[in-house]
Amino acid sequence: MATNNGIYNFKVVLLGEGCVGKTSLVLRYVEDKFNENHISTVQASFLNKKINFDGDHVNLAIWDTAGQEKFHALGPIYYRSSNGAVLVYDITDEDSFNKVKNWVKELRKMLGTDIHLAIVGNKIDLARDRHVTLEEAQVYSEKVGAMHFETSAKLNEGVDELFLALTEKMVHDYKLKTNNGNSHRQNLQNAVNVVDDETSVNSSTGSCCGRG
Amino acid sequence: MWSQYDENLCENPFFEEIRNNHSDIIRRATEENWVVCVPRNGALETADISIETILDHVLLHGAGSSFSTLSKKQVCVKNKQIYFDSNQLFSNNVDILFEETFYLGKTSKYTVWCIDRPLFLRLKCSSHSATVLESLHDCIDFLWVESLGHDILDNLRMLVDTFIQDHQEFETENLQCQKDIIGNLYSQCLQTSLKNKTVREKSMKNRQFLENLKVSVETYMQYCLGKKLMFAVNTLLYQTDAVINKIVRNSYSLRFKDLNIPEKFCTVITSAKCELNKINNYVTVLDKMYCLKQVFDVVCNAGKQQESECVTSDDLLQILVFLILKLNVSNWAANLIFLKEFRFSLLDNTDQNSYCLATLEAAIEFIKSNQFLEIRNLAFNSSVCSCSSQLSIEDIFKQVKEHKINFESEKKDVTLCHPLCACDKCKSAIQDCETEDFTNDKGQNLLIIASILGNCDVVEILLEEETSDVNFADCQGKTSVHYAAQHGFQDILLLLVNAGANINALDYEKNTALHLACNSGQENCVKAILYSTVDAEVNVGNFFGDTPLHLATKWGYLDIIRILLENGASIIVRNNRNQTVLNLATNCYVLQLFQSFGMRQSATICKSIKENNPVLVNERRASQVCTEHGLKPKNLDQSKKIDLLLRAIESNDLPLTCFYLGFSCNAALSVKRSACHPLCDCDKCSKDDEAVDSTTKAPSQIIHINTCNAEGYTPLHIAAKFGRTDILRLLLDDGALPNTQTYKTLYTPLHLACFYQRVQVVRELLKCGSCKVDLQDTKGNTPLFYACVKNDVKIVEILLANGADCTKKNYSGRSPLQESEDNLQYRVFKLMKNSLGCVLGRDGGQGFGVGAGDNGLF
Repeated sequence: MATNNGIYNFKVVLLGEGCVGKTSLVLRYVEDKFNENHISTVQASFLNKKINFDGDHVNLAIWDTAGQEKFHALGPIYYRSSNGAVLVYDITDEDSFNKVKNWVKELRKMLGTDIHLAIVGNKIDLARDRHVTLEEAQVYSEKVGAMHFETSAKLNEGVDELFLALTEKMVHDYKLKTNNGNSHRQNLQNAVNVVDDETSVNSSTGSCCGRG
Repeated sequence: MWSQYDENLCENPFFEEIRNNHSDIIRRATEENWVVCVPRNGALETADISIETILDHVLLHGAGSSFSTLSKKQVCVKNKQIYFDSNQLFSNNVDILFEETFYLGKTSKYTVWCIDRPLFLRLKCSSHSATVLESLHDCIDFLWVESLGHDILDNLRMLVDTFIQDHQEFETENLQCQKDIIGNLYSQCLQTSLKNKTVREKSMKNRQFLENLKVSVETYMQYCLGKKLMFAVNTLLYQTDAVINKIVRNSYSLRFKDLNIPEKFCTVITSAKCELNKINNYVTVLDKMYCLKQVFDVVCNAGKQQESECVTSDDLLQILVFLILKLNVSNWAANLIFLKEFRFSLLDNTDQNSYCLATLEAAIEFIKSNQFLEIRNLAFNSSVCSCSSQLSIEDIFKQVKEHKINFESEKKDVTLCHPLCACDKCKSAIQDCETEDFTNDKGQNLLIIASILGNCDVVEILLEEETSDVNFADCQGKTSVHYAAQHGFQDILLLLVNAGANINALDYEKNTALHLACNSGQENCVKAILYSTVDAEVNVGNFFGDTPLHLATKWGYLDIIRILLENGASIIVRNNRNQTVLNLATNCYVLQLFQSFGMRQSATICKSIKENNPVLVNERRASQVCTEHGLKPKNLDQSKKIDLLLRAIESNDLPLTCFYLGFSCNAALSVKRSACHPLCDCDKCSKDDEAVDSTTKAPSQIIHINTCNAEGYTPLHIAAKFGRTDILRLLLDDGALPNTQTYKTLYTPLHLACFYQRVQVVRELLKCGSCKVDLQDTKGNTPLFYACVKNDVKIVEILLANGADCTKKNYSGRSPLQESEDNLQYRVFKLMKNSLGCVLGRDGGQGFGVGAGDNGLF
């Protein structure tokens, strides 16, 4: 989350219903088509992507969240202290869009405006069966202050743009905040802990790493 | 997953050279998807950077996984490694450390691979591979190598040692306080290590080095602190862990498919279990974290076998839940907090470690949640109800309630219209018949099933009808008492006890109901067992030698431990791994409890002997003891008691032995009588004893000292067999007969002592005077014979000195002398020959044909 020698570390969580294709979306992004044969990791739960633009060196840690209904209450453990969230729905499935709306509510409630949201309609290759219109999604996204994209993981459309835009926004926001002098405002880990009280004690011992 | 190595490529001289002076390559790379390989910082000397090396490091896509460089060399990429042909013999592959995408505007981008060392270049000695510290071993190596000696290690250990002395009891502090204390120690350690000149210079220059230094200092510090730190965290979280343990222990029947885990992970569960089981072997955050990561790697490799399948967070979470349920780790909450809060060296919370931790946390939370409870209950009920009959359990229970009157009147023989008839009349007849002696596929009858499911009404009816045996055991040897106790159904347990169920029944793992109640943390049932019955055994060990107190301690159920201790549980009993409960205690509060109760316990035992001891000694004297065998126990209760007593002696539990026998460890000293001599039996002395006898009542609970068990073993036998010298002395002092023999084998304690080579015991036994040296067992062997068989020179010497006869033949006609001669036991043989010589010399020197043997041995 913080910069470290000019390196930005951001945590991005993936949220969405089971079959909206969030896994293939992130696999498409991280293991893109140039090297799907040789650098193959089969696990899609935690992925790392390093990108560099305008001299900003960004480390994206992309976390998949447990999406089954029975694990719903565990969400906060995954998304706390994240800088960005990618909320995926299937444009052919109205229900999955409603799920996204619920997620947005929950995230805003737990993390406030510190988290940048990207609402993503996946599977535009199946636009014939579209049940969520572009306008509806855009209007909603604007209302809740989120970015909106439509992608196809299958055809690799819009995936790169999505993550790049989200990253740019996170970097931009971070720079703005550090310029205002509140360099550690992003440390949300302590504010959103829902598990038990003992773990949420402030980690003030961080100051003990003596240098030089 | 990528290696943890990271660096800012913009500061890499090789990459700088390309970007500044070869922008054409960059341009072509964006257009044609070339991959630029950059050796990590420090792997390539600045002098080596030339146009040739740069061309060697730009890869063009070929077919499949093959690439060619701009210099037209062929390489291929597999498993995050670049393979190439070169004139080097061994290292033809280079690790790709990470991949980075560089954007030039919104749409144009190119890919850079940071690699461990340059391609096609002869390996330089200086460029060892990128150091990523993963274990304690790595850290110690790092500190040792980088500081060129063990000064830093020594200094750190000294710091920690003084810390441990200064902070004896920091485990009862709260988390923040503990963190502050340890954090403080950490910064001290770091400062100390930075005093080393070489290390300071290197860490000023290289950021990666400084990070590694921090990690290794912290890890070594935690290693020096050892178990102390984990003990403190355990103490902090003992309640949470007890709650988790109770849930986990009660979920034993949960299976793989109940959690909806995909079939493909079946194969890796065992190896993942092995990995995760190691977590408490480690004391440092780094090692524990590594252990956790290994588990994830193992699981992810399972997915690899099937193409196009990937492992999702859901999979990982469910597998981790399953592993936690199946492992014998008792402090998950403490481990989690330890991993989360006691890592000061790395504050980044976006790496893979924190993902693993989040998954662990989620798994623990899930186990505590209501959803899990529902899954568990569902799975549990279905597992019980899987019966061979076509009737459902509910139906049968309903019938039991409705037809309760019919039970007695109806006969078992049902006459059907014809053998396979299915008319209504016959059907109901069959059903009634089935209800009566119904068992499911686990051999559980209705009473047991009702006890498992907690159906109190049905249990009550069944007990009233007396149709089924209260002590009926299923295929695991468990009775309904076991199940009621295990599942915490106090009301059913009380009903069963009331109906005369055997509370001390053992299942096939030798668990009593109390064991199971303690294992699954059912406090109400522990109370029910101990308060409602008088004869519940508290200190009996199961198949693994664990007493109920062992189990309660292992899982940290503080309240149960207290109840057990109040009801006479011993803290000195050892299990088969030779652990007392003191060894098993994982937190400070349990230890405190043991300490306070241990004191009180010994005090009460002392008190009880002061009151009872004279009586007991007298009683023992007066009673007529069979000379050949031990006393038979008078009743069933006594025979159980004697078994317990023998077990107590076996586990060298002196206080418990004393307790059963009704005197204290220092009984012999505490009772002073003015007898003529210690063994005097004259009228005056016995009168004295009787006088004491009449004033105090003899407690009926006490076992006679010469009582034997079913095989005829007396306490003295057991003490001799296991070499419990202290107890043996005590027994002899209090009138145990040294010449009692076991029933079938006719062993005396001396036989056993010789066979098991208990030198000290042999000495003690012979010291008591009345011990016969040459008694023969069923095979006619004397103790000396066994000493010869074992070739124990010491014992042979003692026996001979006490007049053992080395020529006494056993029933197969062999004497100890012959035995040792045939086995070429020179020293034993010589000893015997010498003693024989003395005897013969005394008797007038009759010739004895042992000369040949003599020659044979020399």
